[in-house]
Amino acid sequence: MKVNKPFAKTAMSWFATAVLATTTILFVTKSASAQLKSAAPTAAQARYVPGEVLVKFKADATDAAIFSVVGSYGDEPLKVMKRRVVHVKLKNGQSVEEAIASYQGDPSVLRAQPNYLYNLHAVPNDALYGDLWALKNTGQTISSAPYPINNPGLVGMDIDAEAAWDHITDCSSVIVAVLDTGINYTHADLATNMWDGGASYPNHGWDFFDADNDPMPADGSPHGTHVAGIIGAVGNNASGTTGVCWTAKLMAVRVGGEISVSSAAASDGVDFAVENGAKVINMSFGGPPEQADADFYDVINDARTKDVLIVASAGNKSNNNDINSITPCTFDLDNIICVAALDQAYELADFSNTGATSVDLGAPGTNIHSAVAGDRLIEDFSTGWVLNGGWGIGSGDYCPSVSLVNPSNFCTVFTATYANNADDIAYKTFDLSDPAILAAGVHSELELGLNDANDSLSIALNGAGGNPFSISPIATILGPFIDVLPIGYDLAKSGCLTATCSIGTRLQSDAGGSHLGAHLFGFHIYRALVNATTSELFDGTSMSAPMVTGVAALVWAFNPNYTYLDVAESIKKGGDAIPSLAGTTSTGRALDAMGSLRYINPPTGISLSLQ
Amino acid sequence: MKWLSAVLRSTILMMLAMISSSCTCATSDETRIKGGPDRPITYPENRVPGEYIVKVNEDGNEALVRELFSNYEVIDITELRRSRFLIKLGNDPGPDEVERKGLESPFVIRVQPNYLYPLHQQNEAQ
Repeated sequence: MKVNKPFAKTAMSWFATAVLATTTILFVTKSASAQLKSAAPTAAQARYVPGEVLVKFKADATDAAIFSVVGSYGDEPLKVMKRRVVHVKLKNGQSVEEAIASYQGDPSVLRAQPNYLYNLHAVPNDALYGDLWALKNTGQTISSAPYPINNPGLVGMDIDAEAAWDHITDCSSVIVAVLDTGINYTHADLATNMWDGGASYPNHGWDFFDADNDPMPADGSPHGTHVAGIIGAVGNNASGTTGVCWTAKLMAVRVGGEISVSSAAASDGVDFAVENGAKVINMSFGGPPEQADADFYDVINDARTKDVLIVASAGNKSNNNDINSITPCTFDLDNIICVAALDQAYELADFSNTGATSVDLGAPGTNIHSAVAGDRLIEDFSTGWVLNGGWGIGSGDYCPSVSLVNPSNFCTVFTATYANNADDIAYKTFDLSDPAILAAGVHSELELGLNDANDSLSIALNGAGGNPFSISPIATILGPFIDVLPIGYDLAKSGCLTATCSIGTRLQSDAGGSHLGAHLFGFHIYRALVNATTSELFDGTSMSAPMVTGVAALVWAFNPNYTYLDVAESIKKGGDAIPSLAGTTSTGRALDAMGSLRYINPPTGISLSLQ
Repeated sequence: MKWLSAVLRSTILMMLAMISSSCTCATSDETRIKGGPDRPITYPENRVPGEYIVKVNEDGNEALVRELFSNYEVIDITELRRSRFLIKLGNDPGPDEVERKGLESPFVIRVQPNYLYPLHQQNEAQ
């Protein structure tokens, strides 16, 4: 985006311009004096040739005088260029800064400067880069897009990543924690960008959902891996996608499964991340009840006192978060950035929550291509099911797709109900013996109506095959019950990563009346694969938050002396003003990586007098 | 009993419906038609049923927490960080009653449900 840069609008633009002219890099501090003192580039900003300077001598300096001056410092003149500029090789051990200070004090020298390096515009060579409209919007059409609106979008409606990458692509000095469903840390596009937890945390993080040291998505969930890829998929490695950060340190903190995150796990996860050095924590989840979750509030507040920034997603219910609060987004803590979703034309995504006071800014959140943990087997119910009693495979007006149902006419007869005194089992055997499978889980939707407490629906697994109800079920739902709900369960932990993993469901009833029955659809098995190279397109504010997290890591790596407030302000005020976000977010702005890098807090305490 | 714990959680997750009211997973309106006006759809609470987080002061410990809630059948108790315990009740009287019971004790600082938060993924390519 090249519109309405706040940098150009600031009343102190003269000041910023001066800084730009001297270094081409920006430094942000709280006061003007500190600003001026910070002119020496930090390591992250050192974009010049070490051991060399360019010295411009005064017009009356003779060649002999030039060589004499350079020699007097023990340096070597490599070349006398036009306009009496000398390319100097410094003596061993002398820093560029020291040399510049020395030459600047010499009466024959007009000025001295580093031998700056300039990059070609930074464009990564990743195979799927052309799909990453959020980073570079060329007006490309995204194939097989889950979000059909504004596809293609508008050229230039992106986070201006390439301009930012001219300055920095390496965020590895800033640990980023991904509190999510786990990360497939063997993924080819993530493995080298994972946080090194040493001997204590050999798997790059911790699993607070299953209480073990392995944050691999045990249920195969792709969500956390997708989020991690947006932040820090390895860039410029000629494969897959690239993250906002090409190089990163991603800490995997598993706090939930494919369906949801629990407060207990999330709270401990924040503490773990902070204790182990994370500076930015991504949370692509949330929901009611706002301040009632005092535990979660406390840990995020404590993270604030330890200079840690939280980036959270606003939610996907098209709600106004100012009215329907969302935890953690609407906590009244200034170390939380709450993010809405934008589409490819930088219109607000139709699902995105908003909030004129509670949502900070927007970021791309539709048709986002990123790494996933592996693949998924989509069950079409066409073969292999053993069906007993009232179970059947159906389709019709009351089923969105071919489904496993009981009664068998569930999809076609509105008043259909299951039988009294039923004890009906349906199951299928799957081959999950591929050694490449690290973890796997079943995910599906279940519409269920049960009459009373004597009616039930159970799920069972058996790695030995056959009727899975030959052993105890892993879950049972008792009536009375009616709802449509997502269900999910691990297969690895139930010993079902075998060639004969049977997965089944059982409906039991008494003689005392029946109800709607069971309708299982959208059934698939997620598989986390070793050294996965897979990627997918997802929508959601879940995808918007990590865009901001990536930029936060960039900004912090670029300016290591920043506080969380500096980073947050840079992101909020360095964004682009977007009509669709005016009045729906507190800033009215969309994420801009370059704008965030060059945003300068206006200096305070300056007084000028005219003479 | 890690495996048992996972099973219990799976059970809870399924029984809960977890926030299907706020779940971002696509759910066709058609599938809800059969729930119709004469079959009201329930909206499960956004918490793990039977699970509570109990924060205690320096006088509190696992045994005291277990004893305090023994009338509600403590089937599991896990120590969390920050002097907190995650308890799972076999006979859950509901958040109000559990909180009331907890705050009767001098060593309990706070009791809250173990809330559930949905992921904010909207769609995915099929």
